[in-house]
Amino acid sequence: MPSIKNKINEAYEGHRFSKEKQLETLQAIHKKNYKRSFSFMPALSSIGIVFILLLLIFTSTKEQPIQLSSSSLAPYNADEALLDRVHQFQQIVKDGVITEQERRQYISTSDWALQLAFETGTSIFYNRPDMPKENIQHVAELLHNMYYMVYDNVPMTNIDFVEENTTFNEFMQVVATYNAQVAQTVDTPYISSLTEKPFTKNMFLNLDWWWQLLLLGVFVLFVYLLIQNIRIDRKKLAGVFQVAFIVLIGSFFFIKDKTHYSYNETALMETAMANELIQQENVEVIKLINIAQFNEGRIALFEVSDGRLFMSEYMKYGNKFKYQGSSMMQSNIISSFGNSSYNEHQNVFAFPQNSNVAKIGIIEMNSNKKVYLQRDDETNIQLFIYPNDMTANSIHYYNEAGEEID
Amino acid sequence: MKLIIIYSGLMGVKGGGELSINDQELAAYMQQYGDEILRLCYTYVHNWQTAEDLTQDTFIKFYKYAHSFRHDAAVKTYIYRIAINVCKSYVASWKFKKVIVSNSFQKLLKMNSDVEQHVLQQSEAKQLVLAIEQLPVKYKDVLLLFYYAELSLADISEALQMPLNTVKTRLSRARILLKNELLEGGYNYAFDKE
Repeated sequence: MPSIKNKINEAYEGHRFSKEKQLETLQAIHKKNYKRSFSFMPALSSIGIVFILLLLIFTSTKEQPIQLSSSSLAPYNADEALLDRVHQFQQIVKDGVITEQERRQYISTSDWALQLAFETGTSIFYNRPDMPKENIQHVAELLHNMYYMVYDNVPMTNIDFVEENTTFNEFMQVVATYNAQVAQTVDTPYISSLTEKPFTKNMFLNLDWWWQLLLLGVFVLFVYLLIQNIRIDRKKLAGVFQVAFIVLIGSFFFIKDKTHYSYNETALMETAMANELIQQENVEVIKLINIAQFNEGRIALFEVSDGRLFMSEYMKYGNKFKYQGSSMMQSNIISSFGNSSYNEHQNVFAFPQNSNVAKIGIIEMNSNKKVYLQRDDETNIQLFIYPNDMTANSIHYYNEAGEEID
Repeated sequence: MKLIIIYSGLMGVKGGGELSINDQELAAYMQQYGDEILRLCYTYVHNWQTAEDLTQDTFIKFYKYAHSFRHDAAVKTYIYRIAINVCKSYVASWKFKKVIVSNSFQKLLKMNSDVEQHVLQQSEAKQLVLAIEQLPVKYKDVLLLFYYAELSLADISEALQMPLNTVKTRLSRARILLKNELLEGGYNYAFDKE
């Protein structure tokens, strides 16, 4: 018996899917642009899930601020320190020429502690008066700009210099203009320490934005590939690796950021107290003696329970200063990190409170070239800059009488 | 080369498994299956114009979703599956129901005593096709796919997304219904394939 198929074909003989209709089909496809569709739903849902998770992480790991210091007990007055610094600055730029020694001396002292005192209003070093917010910003920025004008050695006299007897309140009237004038030749931008504080204790949220974007993108990509694999391909080995990647990258969203930062005195203190070296030496951190920032490095100096000095160092990464390492002072003076730029060496020195060092000298042994740095009594940390051509050097310490100390 | 293949595999990137269609390939598929799909669609909608449109829709959908084709079955099975779904969607639509009502009303008006004579004058092929067209959809699907598309029971199970046993049961029932329908019309039809 003829098959059903033949019968149907016989019954429907003459009816065909015409060439015209086939062509019309091809045209319809291109007209409506029927592309192999990429479904955004898996990717969008993945992104959504990730953001919800991040939100949960963010809200659950937000750091509670801890106040460890009180500026009312601070030994120095921030307003007086500021005016001293302004006068010191004016003295060396007023005539339009900054000598090497003037430059060396001015930049040897860091303004970071003072700057921080103005920015935060809480400092164990400086007692800051009540000030309008805009003036705080101008003052902190001015300290930065004065430092870098001298550091870069680009003095300008087109500044409305203030008189020696100008009071702090009088200076506040003109600080905005003064700062704007000083800022004209400064290339290094001012960044407030207030912006350095990490958002949360979550490592992912503390990464730079492009790292976050990259990790998130890779995470979403692998989630999408896994969904496609489950729905369509069903390749088990690929699935295993996709899951492994997802877990690995996903773990970044949950890892606690154990990096120590130096955004304020409290953070410095917390880092020191948790330091491994402190645990090993079996001592306690008694107090924060001094802090300083020189370019892309920061130093924090502590006194420990056996009377020695403990120093922590931080280096700049992005807009934050990350902990690098620590050292315990064995002798009276710590010579910290030294680095060289294209035309000069830089050495940081830290002194105990009762140090009798009044002057540091660096002598180049081959040429007998000598450079000196006067000790600043109001700080325990100083930067010593000397020329690059001084390669074989010896360091000498002198007391008030000019006698060399062993 | 090996490393690239392994890497692609790890990434889950669809290398050799993806069905991607270009114009030429689509034209070839339309050439090969177009007539069958057209006639299949007609058995559902009883209108050649509509059947052509549904056939066109079938191939457009095939083109659009070819990348998600899992290669668990032949391309033919996949195309037939799309066609049946397209037809069922159309049959369930308001548009089709409106057409059916209108046609039924027209038939009522034309109905006369010549119906029986008209039926007797139909060829055997047309009798068979008419009987198939009148089967309930769930039996017609299975019957057409088995006898007209000549798919295996496993392929029919894949195309209609139903268990194999269900396919067997419905096919058996379809044969019985069809046979009874034809016997009533005076034809004793023996199925050439069981």
